[in-house]
Amino acid sequence: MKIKTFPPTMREKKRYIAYSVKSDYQISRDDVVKAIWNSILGFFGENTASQFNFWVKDYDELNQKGFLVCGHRHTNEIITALALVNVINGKRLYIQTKGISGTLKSLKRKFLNTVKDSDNIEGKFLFQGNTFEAVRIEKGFVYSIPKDKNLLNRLNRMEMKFISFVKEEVKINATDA
Amino acid sequence: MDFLDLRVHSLNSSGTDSYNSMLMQAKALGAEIGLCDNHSYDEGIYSGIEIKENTKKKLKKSIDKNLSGFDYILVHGGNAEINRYAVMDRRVGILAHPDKGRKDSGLDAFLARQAAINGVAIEMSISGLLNSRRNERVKRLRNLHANLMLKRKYGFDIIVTSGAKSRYDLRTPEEVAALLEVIGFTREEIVDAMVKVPMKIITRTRESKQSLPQGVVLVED
Repeated sequence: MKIKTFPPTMREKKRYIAYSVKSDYQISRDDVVKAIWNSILGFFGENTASQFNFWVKDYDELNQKGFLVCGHRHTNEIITALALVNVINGKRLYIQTKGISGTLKSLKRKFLNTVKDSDNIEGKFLFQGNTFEAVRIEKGFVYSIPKDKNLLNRLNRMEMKFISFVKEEVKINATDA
Repeated sequence: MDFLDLRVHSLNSSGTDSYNSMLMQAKALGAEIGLCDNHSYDEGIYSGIEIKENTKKKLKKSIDKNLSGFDYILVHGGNAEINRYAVMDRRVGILAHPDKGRKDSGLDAFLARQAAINGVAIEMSISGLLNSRRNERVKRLRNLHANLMLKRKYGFDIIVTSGAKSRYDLRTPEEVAALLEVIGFTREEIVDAMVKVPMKIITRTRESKQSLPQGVVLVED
């Protein structure tokens, strides 16, 4: 016999939280789900996490965006747990909360539209006496790999791949580079 | 909700991104930052210095030397002698992570009272929570709760910073506010820690640079 669902007044109110993942690496869905669960369980513990009624619903690997669902009284806790994620499998990442919505339709309309503004480039430039190799331009930022060993070590220590500059402050392939 | 984050490092100190990149990144997230790079920036950018010394004599010398060049002075805490000197010097804006490398929170009732009298803000850094796990994070949270209790009793200021060294360490004001609320801050304390206290520190340092030293009177012809 099938169990009847609760009437709407008895169901817990939901909130949908949209997030985007920012990283120098391509992060898979499994890694994101694992990172979010680890953060929630690590910070709040199993008993408290059970009250959040949350579930990681969807993640688009191509655009690095996704959403999860939780109880309407626990959005702060979920945002906190997302903000506390900073590394997974030796890959640096930041999960930015894009917004909260009461319905899936409005969440997708407001926060999950995909405008990707990214180009791969090749070229060198000088900055404060150091040479950098430009790799990618994205939303006004130039992502580059330093030639200097100390800077490379600093990046490795922080589990990152690229140093970012603002597009206007570097001259890629200038004659003195 | 606004957020003025006064401990951010760029490529000029120990960070991994250029200062323009950090400024633009912070703007995109809706936060305002002060760069703690030991480097004087153009007008309109808050520039601070993080002083790391191991004796109070050296610390005093360093403060004397750097006071005029920066919008605020931040002292790298952890050492009991340094913590004590920092909260007793009115020129110091922020005492950063007083619990670093310690088992206790780095503050006692005397230091808390001195911090309140001299207007030295005690830092709560998000990077401390981000970069720690399990028992280390529990220790940091415990120290934070101890400092929050002292703040409520003695009335010193708590300031929240990201302690960011890369673009991935910066957080939006909403995320920081959510974190503080979960930890146990009231709404009023959150606004103070994120906006009012940082502004107060910068205003105070700027005013103190313009005012005359104690005992000096300006005589006009």
